[in-house]
Amino acid sequence: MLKIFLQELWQALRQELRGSGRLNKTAVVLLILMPLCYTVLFGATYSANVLNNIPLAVCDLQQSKISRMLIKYYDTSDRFLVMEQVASMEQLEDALTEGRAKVGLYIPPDLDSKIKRGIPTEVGLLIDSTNVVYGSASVIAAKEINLNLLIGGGQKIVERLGLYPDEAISTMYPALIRVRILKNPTNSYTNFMLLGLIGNGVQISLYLYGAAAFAKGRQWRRYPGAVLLGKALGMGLYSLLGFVGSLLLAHQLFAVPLRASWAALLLLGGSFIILFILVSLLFALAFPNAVLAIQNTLLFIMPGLLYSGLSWPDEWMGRLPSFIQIFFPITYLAVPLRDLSLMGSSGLLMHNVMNMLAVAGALFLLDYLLLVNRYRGESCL
Amino acid sequence: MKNILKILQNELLHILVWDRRRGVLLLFASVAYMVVFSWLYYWGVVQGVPLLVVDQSNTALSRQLVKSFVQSDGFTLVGESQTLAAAEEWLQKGRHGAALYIPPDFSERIQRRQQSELVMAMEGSNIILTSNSSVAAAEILREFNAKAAQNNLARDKGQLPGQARQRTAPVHFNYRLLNNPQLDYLIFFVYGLALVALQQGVLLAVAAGVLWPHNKHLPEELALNKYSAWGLKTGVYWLLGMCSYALCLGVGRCFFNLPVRGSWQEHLLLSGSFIFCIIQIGGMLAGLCKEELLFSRLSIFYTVPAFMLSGYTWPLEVMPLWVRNLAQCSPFTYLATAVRQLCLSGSCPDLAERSLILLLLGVICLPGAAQLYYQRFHGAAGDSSAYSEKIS
Repeated sequence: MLKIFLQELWQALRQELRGSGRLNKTAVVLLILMPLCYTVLFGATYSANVLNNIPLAVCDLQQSKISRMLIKYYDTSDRFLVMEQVASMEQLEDALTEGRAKVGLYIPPDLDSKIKRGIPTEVGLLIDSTNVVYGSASVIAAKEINLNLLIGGGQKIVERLGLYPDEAISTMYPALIRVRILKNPTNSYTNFMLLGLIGNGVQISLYLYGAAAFAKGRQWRRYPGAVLLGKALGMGLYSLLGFVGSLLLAHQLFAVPLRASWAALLLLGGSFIILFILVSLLFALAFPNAVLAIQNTLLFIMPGLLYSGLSWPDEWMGRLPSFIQIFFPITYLAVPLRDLSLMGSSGLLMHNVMNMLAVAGALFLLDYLLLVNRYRGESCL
Repeated sequence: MKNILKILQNELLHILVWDRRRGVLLLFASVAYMVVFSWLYYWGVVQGVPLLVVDQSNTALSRQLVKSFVQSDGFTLVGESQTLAAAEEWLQKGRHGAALYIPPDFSERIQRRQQSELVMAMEGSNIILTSNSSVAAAEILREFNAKAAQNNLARDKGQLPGQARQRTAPVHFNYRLLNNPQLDYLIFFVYGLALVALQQGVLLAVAAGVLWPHNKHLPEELALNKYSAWGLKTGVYWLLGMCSYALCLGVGRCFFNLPVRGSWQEHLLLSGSFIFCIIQIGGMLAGLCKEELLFSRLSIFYTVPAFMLSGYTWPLEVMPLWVRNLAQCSPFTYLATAVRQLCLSGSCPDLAERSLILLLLGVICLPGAAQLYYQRFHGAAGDSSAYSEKIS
């Protein structure tokens, strides 16, 4: 009995690995090449890492030494690039509305005279925040530049009151703040997103492949468990290759740190792959045909990624989204994978691995029952 | 006319009755995404970041600084710690927070006209949190320093409060954030995600219209030439696609208070061109695919790159040239940012250009789609009539 079981298991595994020829081309394309392709594509997309050269339009109605210094501060920073000079507030607003600039700097005509007379004056900054990435990068950079200007200007004013330069700057800006960002000190977008996107690529590839796993009909009937196990093993081997290859590509091509040991990365990735294989097989067995099963991927691909806590943090989700995210397998992969990459360990690792394996066990049982049911239905026919 | 109505009725029956998943995908995929993601981003802005304070100075001035942090919207005090190392350990263990370290000589140095250095440590795995925390901390500190500088000048140089204020803040910077003043993620993200679902809904439904093995073709349809037959089909899917677009924006506006600006003509032009283009591309690809399974796989594979490369989140301008060129081959790139721009600001400067590109792309694909559909449905009709004859 065990011998037949093992024989059927081996047949199923060999079928999954080799397909009808020497190599299962569909599995290679979907389970290995697709995650690699996503890695290269998304890694290249975020390769700039930070947003520099934000287009800036300037409306300098003062045209003085001070106003030119202000513009120079913006122009010489990496963050902004002066694209055009305009002559009025209306033209400045037009430049933003028409998309020629993302930020507008408005310097009023009486800037110098007001500063000299000690009357507070106002410099305007218009920021097109339709895209929050631009909006928030512009706000942060502009605030930094303006602060430096204010400190420098204030220092000179206070020096006139008879203070030495050191005293003047300490008077103007007594408390400095040094920001230390742990795990991702450069605020890199690649480090922030890429591994999660790789996880998403792996789940999509598994789903696209697994949903059609039983499309070609029955081949071994005696031990459905052996068929299920053989298929899962074959898919798992291919997918693990795709996952490891993607991590290596991300590390080598896009400098994503991999601080954790490979054992930890494989444990997490492997558990996720096992879980998702069984999810995809469940859908393959629950739906009458592969097309219907595949079209349900829409339930996973975008919601799974965005509900996972990878970009929008868990703590700022409402109760319902927090509940919904439990059902997406990538929730258990994305954040710990990023933690493993950035700091070498994750407090969530063992908890999530145990959860994934426990659910995978339950799903195996469910898949087995559905497969037995399907075989019974087919034998009735 | 009668024949045309009969064909249209047949197509609608396919979509809404015989192959209902087609109707669901076409009409409700975008609405479902709109609802699902509006729930997710309902709070919109990340505020109240958990803050751990290490106040080794413990003076009136340091407590004043801590109070400024606690009273701001940006942070929520969750506890105090004795050392910076302990605070960093807390950050490494816990999730999503910040720690403010105030050194023991903080007040003394300020009294002695020396600068004092604070440390703000942040858990940096999530960029949204670090950006918001940095902005909030810098703003709090700017205000704190301005007040401290005024006090210093008043104390050391006998300046009156008004004079001191003018000297310490000679220029006020006024920030006007246009279109999304709160940098709210709800209105930033949701339109694009709903449009991705709309695109997939249309693609998968059109493919089913071409490839579904149980499609029934009327004799009236077989009598039409290829452009008329495909044109009628396009019309039905286009109309339902437009309904889906309107429904999704309507749901966003009514239930989640999302701004929907821009005239209906502009929306019609942009979304109409896009849906037309997608139907033609979908039709052509479906004609080239042997079976619906292959088309579904290709379509799903395209979904995530279409969104990520469209410039909707990470701007196109900073992507490498080859990625930008690739992105410009995707119709979604011409739609997503334009719809958001239109909805938030009420205008999109290159709307006509984008619509024209989409229309042109659609027109280029139209003959291919029509020809392939014609071949396929004549083949299918031939097969089915041969099958009927055999049965009879």
